[in-house]
Amino acid sequence: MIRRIEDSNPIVTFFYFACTAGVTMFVPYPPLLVISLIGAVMYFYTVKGEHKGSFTIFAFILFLLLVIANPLVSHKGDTALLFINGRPITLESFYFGLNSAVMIIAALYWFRTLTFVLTSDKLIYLTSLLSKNLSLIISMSVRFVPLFTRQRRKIKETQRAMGLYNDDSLTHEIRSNIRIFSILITWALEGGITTADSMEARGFSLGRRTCFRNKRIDRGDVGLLVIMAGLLSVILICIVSGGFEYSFYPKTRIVSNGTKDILGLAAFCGLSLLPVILKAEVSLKWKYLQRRV
Amino acid sequence: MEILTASGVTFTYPNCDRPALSDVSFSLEAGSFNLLAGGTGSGKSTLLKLLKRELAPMGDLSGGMTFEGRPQAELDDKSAALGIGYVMQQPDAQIVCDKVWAELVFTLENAGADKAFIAFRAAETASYFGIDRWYESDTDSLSGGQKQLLNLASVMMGEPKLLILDEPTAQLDPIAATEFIHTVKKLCDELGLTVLIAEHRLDELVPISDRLMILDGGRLIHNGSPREVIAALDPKSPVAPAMPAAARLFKALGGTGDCPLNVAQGREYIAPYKADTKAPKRGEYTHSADKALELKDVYFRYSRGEADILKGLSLDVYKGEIVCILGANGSGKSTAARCMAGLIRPYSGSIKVLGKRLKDYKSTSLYKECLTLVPQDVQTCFLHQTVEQELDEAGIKPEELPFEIGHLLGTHPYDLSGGEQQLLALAKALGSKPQLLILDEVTKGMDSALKLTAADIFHKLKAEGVTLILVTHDIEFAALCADRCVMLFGGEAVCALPPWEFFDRGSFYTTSASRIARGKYEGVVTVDDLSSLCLKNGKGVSLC
Repeated sequence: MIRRIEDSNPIVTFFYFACTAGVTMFVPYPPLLVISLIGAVMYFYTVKGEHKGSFTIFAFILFLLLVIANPLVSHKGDTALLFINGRPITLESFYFGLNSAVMIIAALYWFRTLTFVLTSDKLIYLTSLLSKNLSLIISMSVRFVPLFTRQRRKIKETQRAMGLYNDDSLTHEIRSNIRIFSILITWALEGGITTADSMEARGFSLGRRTCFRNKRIDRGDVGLLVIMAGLLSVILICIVSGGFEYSFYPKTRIVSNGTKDILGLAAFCGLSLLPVILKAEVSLKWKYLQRRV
Repeated sequence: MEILTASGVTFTYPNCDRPALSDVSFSLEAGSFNLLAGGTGSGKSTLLKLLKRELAPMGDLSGGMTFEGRPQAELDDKSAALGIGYVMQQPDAQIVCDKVWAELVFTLENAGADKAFIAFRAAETASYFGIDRWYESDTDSLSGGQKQLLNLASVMMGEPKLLILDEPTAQLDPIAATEFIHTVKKLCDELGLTVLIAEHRLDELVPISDRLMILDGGRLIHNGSPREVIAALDPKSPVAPAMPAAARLFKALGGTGDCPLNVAQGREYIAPYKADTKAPKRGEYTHSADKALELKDVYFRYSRGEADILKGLSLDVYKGEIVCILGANGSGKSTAARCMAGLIRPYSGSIKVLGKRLKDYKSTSLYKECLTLVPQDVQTCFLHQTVEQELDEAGIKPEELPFEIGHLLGTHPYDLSGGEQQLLALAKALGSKPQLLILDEVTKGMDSALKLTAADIFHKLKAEGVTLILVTHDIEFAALCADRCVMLFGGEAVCALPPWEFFDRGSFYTTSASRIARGKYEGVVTVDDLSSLCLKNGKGVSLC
């Protein structure tokens, strides 16, 4: 059975983001970037995650800045719109800025979604394919970060309640924080010794370790991989055979080579919207199953 | 059959002139439950670490140890590492991985077992220990009791023959501690696992142990069945106050016949005593009229979507009182303490400290010569490299303290025992000359001798006019030093009474001495109360 991208094997998830973000970053063909942005934003809003609204506001502001910045810096292009300090602001330069902004924002959205979808255990599974010890180190670090921040908060609160945390002035506050940080290091090292003992006591240095991070690749995963590889190869063939032609300077020109480009764009459209399509399909299937029940 | 023997083990740490262990010899029967007791610094941890080859400290060792008939040095790596399981004190620092399941399989991954076998062992182990409900969780999100259970389960994945536990429940609350001990006992009974456990909290362990060993100053002074050892034990020994209430009663009443170990045996033991005088003489409890702390209809929750932790908590604490706040896990005890200290703000209700509202204290003025909170995680109090520096920072001299800490001045605070850390934190807290002192779980990590010291300290502080609020799980300790006990339940204070009334009311939430005396005497809280009543009445048939 085909599942959603985020529920499939992490290899599938990772491959999907490599395809979409990769194509977005290496093929700055305007129609393709627009599709990519739409796909990325739609996927971003279908997965679970925190602070989505503030990320979108951030992305929007960044988008505006990028669009404005390019024409102010680059003065290439034929069509002058107006002159500032005797330098031309050109339409082509504006277009170029717009295009780069769409590309950067689309890539940002893909990566942000990736951080929501690729949870720590999936990341550790992927690294375990490369190296067993690396995955153990990452697993330990992932565990350690929240432990460290919590201890910092607790120490700060305790010092306050004992009348020893002084934030009357900035220098006092900095000094208090430095002291807390230095004891945190001691605390971490102290805990590290116990952890090392605990690892040793459970036979860490016995020799060859097995890596149990086990995730099956089933038919659904293979199916998804095949679909994605198929769509990607259509896009690649299109690029290699000279499709997706465009230029911004001296005059903005987007060439459409007929069927070849349309095929390539359709393939990318399929790739970008794949998560949303799969999600719709899965929820439809559930509805259908429920009705049967 | 003997699974482990130690003969003439003597061990000296480098740069120490006195041996940490001298001439320790014993053997453990396969499938037995063995308890190792001793005061702080008696060498318990050193002995346990020496028995586990991977953890053996550096130093000068003589004498021999065998495991399953083979000398320790000749064991192959795998049977040394997996054959002897070792669980330590700190629930957090022992955990290696981020996910529960990853932690569970860690042992067998090290052994290089094949994946199908690991999957099976993980499944059955998780089911046996009840870990299956949180199998996919982050290890970070677990409670202390769950963490310790996970550490135990992870060690059990390696199918050890001998399980060594070094104060496994010192960081747990009493309910989680009891559950943990029962799980270990179950492993011993059901799997024939040999257990060697070192603990401070002996009242629950003594009745279920086959053998009790007592270390004192690095020497094994007692080794035998709990009844024999208790009968022979010096009442002044640091472990004597840690014994079960029934056993302490037995010693206080002269100690003839078979020593009772649990409540039922204790009730039987006092049956021959008369009950002419029913209750110990006590006066009415009086307190001063001034309030040190006043809570009125306090409501608190951590975030909007969550349920209320405190639901209309109202409580008055009078000047110069020792009030113990008791309650189960999650009843809001620590939250209440943090609210009182102004660290978190209730969304409704008012809190007054020394007659002034919390809001009216500007910036840190509340924490200067007024109120101090010592939190549960006492390590968070320390910022320096030595005890001396800690005391300097707090502006307090060791000789001003109501207790002795001078011998520890050069030590790093993290190297102190749990109980000593509590004392140091208390010393630091006294540096700000508080009138109101709030202590959260002050007996955590203390052995019984130190608890008695702590109770003395609190009474001294009370005599100096300090008001104390002790948030604790420790019923026996509350019975020992409280003027009033408050029970928190469902975010409210259910009752606030002097201990002899408080503990006389409840039948579950009460001291062992009170349980032993139930139905025969009234108003009994401590073993001392009960033994003096028994001695006063004498043996014989009651007239009424």
